[in-house]
Amino acid sequence: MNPVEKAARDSNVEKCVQCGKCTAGCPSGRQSRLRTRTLVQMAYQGQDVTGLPELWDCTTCYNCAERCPKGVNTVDAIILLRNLAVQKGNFPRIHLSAIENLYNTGNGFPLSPEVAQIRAIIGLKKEPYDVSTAPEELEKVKKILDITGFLELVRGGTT
Amino acid sequence: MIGVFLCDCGTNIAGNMDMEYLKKELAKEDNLIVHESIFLCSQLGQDLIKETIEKEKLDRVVICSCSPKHHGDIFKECIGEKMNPYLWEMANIREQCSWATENKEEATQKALALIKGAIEASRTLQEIGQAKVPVIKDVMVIGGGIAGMHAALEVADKGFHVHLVEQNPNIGGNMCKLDRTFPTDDCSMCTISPILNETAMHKNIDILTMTDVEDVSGHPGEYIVTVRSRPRYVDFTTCTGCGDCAKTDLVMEKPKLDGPLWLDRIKIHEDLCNGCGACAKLCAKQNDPPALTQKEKDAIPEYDTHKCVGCWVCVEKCPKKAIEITNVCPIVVPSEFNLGLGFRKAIYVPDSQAVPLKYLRDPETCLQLNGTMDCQGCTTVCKAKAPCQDTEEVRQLKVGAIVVATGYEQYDLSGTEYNLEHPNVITGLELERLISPSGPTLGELKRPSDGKIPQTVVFIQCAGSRDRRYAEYCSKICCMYATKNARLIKADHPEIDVTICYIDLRAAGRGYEEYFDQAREMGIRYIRGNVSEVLADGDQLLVRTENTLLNEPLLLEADLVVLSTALVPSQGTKHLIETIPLVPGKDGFIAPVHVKIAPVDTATTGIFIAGTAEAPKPIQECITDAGAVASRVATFLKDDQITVDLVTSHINPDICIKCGECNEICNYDAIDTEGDIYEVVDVACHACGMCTTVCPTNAIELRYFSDIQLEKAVDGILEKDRDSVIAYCCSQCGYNAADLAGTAKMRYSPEVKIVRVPCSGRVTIPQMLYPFTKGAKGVMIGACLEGQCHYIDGNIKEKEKVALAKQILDLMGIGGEKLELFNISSAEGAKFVESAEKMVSRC
Repeated sequence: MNPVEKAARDSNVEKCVQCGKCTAGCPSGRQSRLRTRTLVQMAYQGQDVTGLPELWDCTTCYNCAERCPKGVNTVDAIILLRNLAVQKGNFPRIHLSAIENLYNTGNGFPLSPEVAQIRAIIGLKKEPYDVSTAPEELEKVKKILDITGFLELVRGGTT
Repeated sequence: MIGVFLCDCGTNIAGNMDMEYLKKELAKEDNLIVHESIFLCSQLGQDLIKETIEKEKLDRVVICSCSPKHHGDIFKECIGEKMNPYLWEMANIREQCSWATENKEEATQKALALIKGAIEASRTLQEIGQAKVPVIKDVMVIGGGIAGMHAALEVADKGFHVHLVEQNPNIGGNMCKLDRTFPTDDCSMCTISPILNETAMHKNIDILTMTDVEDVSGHPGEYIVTVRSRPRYVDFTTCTGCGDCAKTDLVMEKPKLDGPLWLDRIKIHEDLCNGCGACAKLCAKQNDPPALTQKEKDAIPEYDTHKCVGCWVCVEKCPKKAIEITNVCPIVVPSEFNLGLGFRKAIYVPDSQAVPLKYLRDPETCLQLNGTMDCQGCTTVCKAKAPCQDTEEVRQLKVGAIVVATGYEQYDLSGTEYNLEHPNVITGLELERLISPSGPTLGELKRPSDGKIPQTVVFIQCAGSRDRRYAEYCSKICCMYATKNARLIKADHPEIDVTICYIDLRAAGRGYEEYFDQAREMGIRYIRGNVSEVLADGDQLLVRTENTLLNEPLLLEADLVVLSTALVPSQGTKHLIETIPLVPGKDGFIAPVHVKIAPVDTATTGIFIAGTAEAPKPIQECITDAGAVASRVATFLKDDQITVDLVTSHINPDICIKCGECNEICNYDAIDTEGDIYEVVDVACHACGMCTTVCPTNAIELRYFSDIQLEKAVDGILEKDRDSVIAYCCSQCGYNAADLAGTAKMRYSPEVKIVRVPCSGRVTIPQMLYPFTKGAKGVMIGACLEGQCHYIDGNIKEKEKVALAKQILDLMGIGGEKLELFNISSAEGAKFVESAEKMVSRC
């Protein structure tokens, strides 16, 4: 069994009856190409979906998996398939900036001036407490990413 | 003297084994006589058996021929003419030997071992008698829905007396609530009404309404059922059902009450009232505080219904006849019969067409019964003086058989993505009431929130069904009843946009597909897509789904959403499962003892099931069930006594320590633990033998398939051939699978030799280990598939025992892999062969 097939099997795609409840409740699918039900069907039929760009449109909100009447782990499957996609180099370059941010600041989406303003209005501290405000913790994050070869992996992406 | 009869079966047996050698070898045995016949099952063969029994004064017979499943009954009858019909054994040397073995020499040796096993086992057999149990000819039917009524009528027509027990005030069940029925669009009430009346009038049926079953004791043929009847607080015999007591002027603008109401009992006609004040004075004399007061002279009196006790003096004495009774009973609550829609009074009948049409008072809301006031409203108005003080009644009824027809209810989807809390999200059964001419809107489709006619209606299929979170099964009737209701709406209001969101359309039944075709022609829109959620914006509803055939997420607007809610066992069904020995399936419905070949029998002899207590099903299948059940009941009760062959378990009271383990494992409630000693109820025992495996003192034993009988069968086989794998095969599946393999001439190693047991669950751990002490190479157990055990769960229980025995074999150094349980269905001959070969290769 190849890794894509295994990811599909581990996520119970064979239990899917194509009812469409996942796509129906998908907040991302209303705005994007993502059709969770179709992804599951393709995986069930043994197709390699790791090259599909919509794999990256899922926000992992778990609406679909929670409501799935048959217990298909749709979101876990998507996460697994994304990992496989990255290993194959199928990775949308658009996400690289978030990844570079993660490496450089410890936060994929660092504080923007607009968000800082909103925080001030609602009376929150100017900066959130996270790795970006704790330089010694940021070093640890970098160390983990270096050891795992994270940057090489994602920079090798071709999509 | 043992008579051994060898059958050639033409060449089926004799063609693949050396019969002369067998006869020669068998002749070496003491006290034994051998005969051969070309066809032992023929008249000639049977005569030979009978003559030999007489002539040689045989005390045991061993038939060496085909499978006992094939001609066992013929030989049993033949031998039974001359001696006790249980003093014989059968060696299966055809299906499990000559047909299953390639090599003639090997087949001969295997046959010898099998025959020797049968001879040794036959020596242990005891005469088996019969028990006769007296039968009570009365029957109880629990549940007065369509299945229960029909069963009661069928049974009553056969001449048995029926107690029909119904928890509600009226019979008819859910079918009474339906508007029309698929696939003919017949008016449900018109269909059921004659049945209601026939049931009520039948001389052999007595109906116990408002009655719950509290306990069942006794045994098949003589059950003692304790029933408790709740009081009606209205005399059943004198109430004429005229409805004077429930008179009302309430007109509902929308189908749903916002809450309980306390209405005015009287209306003062201002055009007639001259303000004389007589009523107020009389009221003040009778009641403190008074309900009628006159603030100033000549003024029209003021009325406070909360103080009015319904004495009606004002109505009688008003010189101008200006006061009219509007509500005898002022209390209004949502109607249970209408599933919370519509209303009823504190004194009420569930429905105007209820059978029996006898009023009752609800002690919770009746002002007199709940102690709010000394209300005299209905008691004074009723000409028959029927309202009364009443007490519950507990009775014990003796019946020979029980029919359970306690039905279904709708799954409660409150608090889920379907937004059932919203007044305009309703269930299928609620819609039935909304479109029924006798319902709260008199058949006008009005949405509950504001009474407007909805312009868009969305049906949501599989709401709770086929869903691991709620009910995993398909509720079977929803595709058709939603289609039916959609058609009825469309026929009445072609302008209404009707959509059905479905996963799979299941229209399997006579006329169903055609019915569905017509629905599409009528303009009903089917969207293949499950619904993810129902959102609300005020009274307006939004339904999120996907058109899966277009790959398109959809947001549908709806004025009314109808959930085709999953059908689940009713509270009554669940209560009964806890009260009497019934076995629920994984789905919570009452499981039949065998889903195919005994669909209306339960695990308890003499207790049968009909209708939706067993599974969701349409009305016609409930009727079919009811007919089948009546036939089963009549067969069961046809004689004055039930005769049982005592192949059952029995308890030796001298060594029984009354620990109750046997009672615990018994699936048939066949152990009587009430008396001084524990006893097996022979008529309830299915002779599976599971009880014998758990008794710590070996006090309980099967009379047939006894421990010693099985042990000697193993001894006999191993004496002739130590290189054997003993295969304990259950009579229901494993043994049949082996027969099937032989019939198909599938060959497997002659080392595998089968010992028949009633159920795999009858094989004890000592019986698993015993063959090894005699030199056997391995032991296998052939059991039914999981979930298909003919004794409910013998194979599951056996699995645990096998796991333990494997550990013991590991510790003994023999190796746990030399013992294995295989789940094989009757139809899986090839799987038996595969299992047998796997076992041989391991040993």
